[in-house]
Amino acid sequence: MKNRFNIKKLLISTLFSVIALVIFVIEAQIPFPVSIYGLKPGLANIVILFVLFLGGKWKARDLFLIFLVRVLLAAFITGQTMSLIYSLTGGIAALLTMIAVKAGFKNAPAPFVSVTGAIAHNTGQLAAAAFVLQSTSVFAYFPVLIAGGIISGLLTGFVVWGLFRTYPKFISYINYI
Amino acid sequence: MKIKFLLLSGFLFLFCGCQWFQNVPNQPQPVTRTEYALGTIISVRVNHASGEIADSALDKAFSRLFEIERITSAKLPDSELFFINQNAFESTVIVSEELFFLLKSGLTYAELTGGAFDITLGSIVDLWGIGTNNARIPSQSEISKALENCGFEHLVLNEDEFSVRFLKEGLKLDLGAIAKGYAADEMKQVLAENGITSAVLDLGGNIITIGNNAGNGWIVGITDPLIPNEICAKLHVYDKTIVTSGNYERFFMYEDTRYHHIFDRRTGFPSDSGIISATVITDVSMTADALSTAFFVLGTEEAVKLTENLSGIEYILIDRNLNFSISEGIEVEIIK
Amino acid sequence: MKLLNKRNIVYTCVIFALFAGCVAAWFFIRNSEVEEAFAVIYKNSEQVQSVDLSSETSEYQISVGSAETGINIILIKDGAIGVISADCPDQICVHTGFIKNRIVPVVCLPNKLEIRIVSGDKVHGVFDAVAR
Repeated sequence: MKNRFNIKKLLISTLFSVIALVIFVIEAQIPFPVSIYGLKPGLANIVILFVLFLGGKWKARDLFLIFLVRVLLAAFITGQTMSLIYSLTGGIAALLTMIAVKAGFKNAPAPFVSVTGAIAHNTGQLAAAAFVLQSTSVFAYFPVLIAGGIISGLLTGFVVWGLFRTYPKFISYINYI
Repeated sequence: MKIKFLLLSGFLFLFCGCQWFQNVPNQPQPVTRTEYALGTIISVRVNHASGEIADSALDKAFSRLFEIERITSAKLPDSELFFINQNAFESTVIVSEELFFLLKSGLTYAELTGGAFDITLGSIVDLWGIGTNNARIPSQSEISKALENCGFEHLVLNEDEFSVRFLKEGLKLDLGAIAKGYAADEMKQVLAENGITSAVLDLGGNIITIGNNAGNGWIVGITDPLIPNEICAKLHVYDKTIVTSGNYERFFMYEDTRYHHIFDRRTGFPSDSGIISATVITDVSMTADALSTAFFVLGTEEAVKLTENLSGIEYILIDRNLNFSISEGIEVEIIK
Repeated sequence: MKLLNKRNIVYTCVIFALFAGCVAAWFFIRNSEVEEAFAVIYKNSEQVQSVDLSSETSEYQISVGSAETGINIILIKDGAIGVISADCPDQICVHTGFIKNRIVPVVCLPNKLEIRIVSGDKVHGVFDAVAR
């Protein structure tokens, strides 16, 4: 039976958002030694990547909703509504890229998809910053942001890859609900 | 292989030859020397066929500069000016001929400009501390109190015995607004006496030129007061000095208001006459230094009125709406 | 599925090459110097001040912004410029430290502040001297 308003799915989506939010908040508490905008582990992306690789009934639309809820809640909790523009542009760029790469490259491994997403995320953020400041000189940070994106992308990618490898039963259970 | 090698060495030879021909002797080679003095960067460029003559002239000019610094600095504890500031109220102080000349010139400019230029504002300068790490906005009562200790009428000079006396205990002299100009004139003279016929001196933005740059004249830019890394006007000069006073040199910002280093004696605040850049072009750099400060404080209208009684003074005044007022005797190309 | 298949090796190589290239580019950019450095301070993408770092010898502070737009206290010292305190939440501008003649800017995104290093060389080149 096709149910347009799938309560179970909604519930699990919310759960994903909250997990992402918790990861985000915990990450924000850990002091990170490098002070460059956009250079951070970005572990909350684990959830998005996880859902992307679940596939099945988890469509792009669900990804966007999970992402939006996470980002909006994070902005309201930290009170930094100004930074919303950066997280939104970065996040949407990353999502679109990851969806495209996942669809375009057959059986693309999670770390690879994640790296492209992270690069897109940082590029989008940098473009937003350049737009806000009306400045092209911030692109001096471009290489370091891509390098940082590669590291954080690999990190999150391997976490997801490990999850799928280690808990195949759990994965299929989620897809079954 | 051999041919390649030959060709390569041929090119190399040509290349070196060109380099060598460019360095034909007897062509004036600019020699530049830069030192720190009078609280700023002093840079002199000399064109002379002989590097030795250029070097020895520069040596003498810079030792003259440091001599002047030792006399006029309000900060060096062993300077003559420092000694006057400490002692001239308790007792009459006999000073060197040079310092006396400077103080007398300072008083002359003060009288000429009705106090718009004043060498006795040391207390106000210290109170604000602009350009130092202690810059702050003082309270009105502090300013009023400091203002009582200012004013050139409290400074008495005795020409017969070269003596100085303060009539107020807290009076404090600050020659910052003419010392650079005076040093420029003196360095120019030393260079000229030592055979230099072509040079540009830059004393922290005060420009003085020697000669006519092989007939081409000197091209001098005027800093854009709003964008100090750019130029807003360009002029062509022969053997002149160009001095600009601007609100962009030393200042601090507080709540989007700029507090700069040129004070108005009438208020005790940084001058707010509407002028943000005042340039004077003339022959004597000390005059240019004093008048550019005075014009800055006076505002366009009064400054222009003042020049009617003076000869040989050209000016470029820029107000905060970027209106240029330029004297008739000079051609200025406004870049924007 | 084999882990070290041909495709994964290609992915690894591409990512690694990109990473190495970026690290090299970053060190290159970080170390590129400009002649006659000026620091230009932008707030809300408008220039508020520029400082001639190549000849600036005094030490002073500039406070940029207001309580509504965010305040950054900028210090100019020894020919270098940096933010020493700010009311922004992340304090990244403060941690960036001082810049002198390198082209990587100091940025405070929450307060929309940028300190950019530009070369005065081009402007000053045609002049025998510049009065200021």
